[in-house]
Amino acid sequence: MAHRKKNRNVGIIGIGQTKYSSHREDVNQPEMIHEAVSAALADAGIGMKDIDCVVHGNMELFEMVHQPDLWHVLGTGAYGKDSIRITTGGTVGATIGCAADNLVASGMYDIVMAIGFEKLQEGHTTGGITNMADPLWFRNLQTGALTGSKAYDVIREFGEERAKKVSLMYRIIMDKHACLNPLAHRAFGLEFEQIDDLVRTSPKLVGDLKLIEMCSQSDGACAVIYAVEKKAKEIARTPVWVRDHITVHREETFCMFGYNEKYPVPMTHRFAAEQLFKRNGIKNPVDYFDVFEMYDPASWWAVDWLRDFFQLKGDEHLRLVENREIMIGGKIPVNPSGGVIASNPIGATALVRIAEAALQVRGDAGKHQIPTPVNHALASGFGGTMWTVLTMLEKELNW
Amino acid sequence: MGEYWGVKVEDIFNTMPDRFRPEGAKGVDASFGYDIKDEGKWKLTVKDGVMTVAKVDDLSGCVSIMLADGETFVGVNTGKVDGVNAFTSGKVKVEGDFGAFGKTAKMFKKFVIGKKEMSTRDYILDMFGTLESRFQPKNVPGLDASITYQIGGDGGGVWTAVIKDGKCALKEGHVEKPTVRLEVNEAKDWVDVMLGKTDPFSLLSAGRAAIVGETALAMKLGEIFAKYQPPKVEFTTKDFILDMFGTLVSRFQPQNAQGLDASITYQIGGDGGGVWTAVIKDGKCALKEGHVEKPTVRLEVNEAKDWVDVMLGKTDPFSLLSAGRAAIVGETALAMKLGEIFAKYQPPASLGGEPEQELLVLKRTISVKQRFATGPVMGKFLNALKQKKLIGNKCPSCGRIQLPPREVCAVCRVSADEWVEVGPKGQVRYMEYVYYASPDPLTGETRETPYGMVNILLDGCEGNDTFAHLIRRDQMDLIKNGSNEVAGTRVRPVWNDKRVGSVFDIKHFEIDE
Repeated sequence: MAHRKKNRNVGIIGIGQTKYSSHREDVNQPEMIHEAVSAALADAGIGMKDIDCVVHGNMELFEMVHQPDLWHVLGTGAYGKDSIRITTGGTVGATIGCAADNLVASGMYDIVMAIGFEKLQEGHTTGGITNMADPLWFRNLQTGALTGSKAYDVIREFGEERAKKVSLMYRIIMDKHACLNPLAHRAFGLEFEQIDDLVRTSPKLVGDLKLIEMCSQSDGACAVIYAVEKKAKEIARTPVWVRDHITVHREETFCMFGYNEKYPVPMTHRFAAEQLFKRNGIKNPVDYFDVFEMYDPASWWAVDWLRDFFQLKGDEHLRLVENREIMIGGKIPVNPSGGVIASNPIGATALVRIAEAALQVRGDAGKHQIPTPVNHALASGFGGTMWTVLTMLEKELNW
Repeated sequence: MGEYWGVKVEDIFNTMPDRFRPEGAKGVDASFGYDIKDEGKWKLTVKDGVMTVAKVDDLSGCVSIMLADGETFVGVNTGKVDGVNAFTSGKVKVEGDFGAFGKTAKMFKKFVIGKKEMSTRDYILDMFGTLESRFQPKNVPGLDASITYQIGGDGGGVWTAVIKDGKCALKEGHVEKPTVRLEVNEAKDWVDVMLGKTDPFSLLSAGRAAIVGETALAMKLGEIFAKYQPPKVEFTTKDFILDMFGTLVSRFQPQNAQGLDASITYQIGGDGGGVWTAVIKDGKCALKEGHVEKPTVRLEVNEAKDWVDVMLGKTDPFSLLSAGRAAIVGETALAMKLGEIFAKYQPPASLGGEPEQELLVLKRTISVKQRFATGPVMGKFLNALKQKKLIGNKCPSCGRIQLPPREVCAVCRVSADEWVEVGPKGQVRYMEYVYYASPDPLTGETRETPYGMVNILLDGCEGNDTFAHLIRRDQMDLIKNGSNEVAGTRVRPVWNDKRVGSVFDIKHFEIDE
């Protein structure tokens, strides 16, 4: 794939997030967004006058508002400024991050603010997702974002007992992380002793995908400010450098259920990670990265995707979970924030991955900060049928 | 026993069990003492996520003891007094392990004034007491069902709502074979759901609640019954006055009082009245009870109720002055600036007073008619369905047969223009066993569950080019998925008599025996 080097280096200089919760009836959409915008500006120590361009995104029509960027203009601060709206489904948060990075790297703007938000309570999430499907054929069959196919895959490959336990183990690790993150929507205080009990009692949604294993529906917003190297160094105490990002799509149909080894299903996660690591000379991603903020819509997917993103073989990914190597303090902590399973304001979700990864690099994550130095971070976005966006962040500008 | 802002010291302790957050008390295993001047001593013990609090005579065994007077204690707990300031100024002291004491802050939800802190039992009784009156027959015409609420824990009980002929009757206890039974482990959780503080799905996911029977009916409860509204608590004039002066310092706007060196006395008469003086100097504001010598300005209001009305914006101060019900003594110009020096008083939202009316939820239902052009390729495919034929198009490069057909092969990036008839029988490679009642996007109706979505490898197709459709509902449990060279259950389409060139020309697939 043709890929050019950046024209200019870009650093993240400001991060703002709201508290994520199921109910934000105390504010309207622009007011909620404004909370994240003000927090990001305060974090960077700059004002709206310093922002050259605003990139705004969320799930299209989840709240049934056409061009919400118009309504939101006072909350985003984009009044009288260049403003771009992007909506690419679940990946949108990651895509607005890519766009902000590209806009600054290109030389078009020096400082760009990416804003992702969702107020899922104001619309119908499953209804919204269902409308994503091909209206001529698949829409009537769609079950929203819920599928038991990944559980089926993992059970098929590793046996029912091990698979079900590893999925719940992942889920409980995420909950333990979420309990350390005051912004997390759902922090139950689950314990590892509950694994067998939850495997038995949590209601099933689709196949072996259980309610406890699925992500939440959250309200919330996230804003991240990107600046050109010179300004980033002037403004930020610790700018977090955006080294590279990659986006990979596949065709928008579900031709992936043949279950025949002769016809492997191409996975965009594995493909995207492979390309990204290759062009950046990374041989062993588990060793290289100090943290991975993964878009994990359900624990089954999460467990399986670790293998794709980290280019692992056999059951290496299961062992990472079983040995709790993905916990804070482990070999490769995954989602110290609690991840998407804990908080999922969809249009913001993938940007939150970048924001949380950057906070880890800065050492500013508070109670969920990884205790060892974080120099290299990876963040993923997921959406559509099987789309992938990956972003690499660095502490030092030395690659 | 004093009362401050309408709250007694013991109210704070008595509501602790209801305000306790186990997630905030993780790993805590200790006792904490409270020694409140002239009020008594309380001992709070936390162990394994369980909290107990009791009034005691002796505080031995506590890792830390907080000492404060009643007003400060109530003030800090209700947010009327800044805790850090109170501590810095020595109004609150902590003996023993200060670090351990800090943990108590995270263990409790905030005490909200004006709520009078109804207990979980009070809420549960009120919720079921109002259930019949909240029944919305127009939303569920013809519904004949019984809904059992089995609420465990402190304050719980069992109630069954029997709905028939557009009427709802509530019975205590179980009935035989209810249509659906909601089981909630802790009454407190159910109260939180009803008050909109938590969503029911979180409870279900955490295994703290369960639905037995018709899940779809449980999902509709929000339509069957109007939202529960907790009883509004009246705030007395005295409560308002105390709250106004309790929040005065926090409402001070130093940027609007630069260089101001003044004292403002409020002399409020009548029931609930009193005298307070705000002393402003060096950009700071301090409130004292009582008079000071030679205040810069003194506001005299005959009746506390009038002042409350002014502060709530119901009356304007000039009419009071003109009517002789209030007077300004001293620098009138300063009195005129009070609106700038102090931010507007906002009564607590929990009061159900007017400010809450500003928070509304506007409800909308959108129904949109849509028309989608098929284009020639999908058009050919859909038209063939009318003749009970399934046709795919073949990629000239890799040979895959696409179902439904697409204009090009995405992998090879070439036009796929060779048409091939496939199926209509085939084998199941994978079935989604769907329990979750999602809406059918074509009708907006909640789908009946469980249902099965099958991915079928139609005869003539290979690899991952499976075809998705529904399986006959009563055959779901008989379906076996295929794997590698082992075929899954053989199925055939069931065609509708009237076919219009749509997905639903096939009603569903069924087992081919």
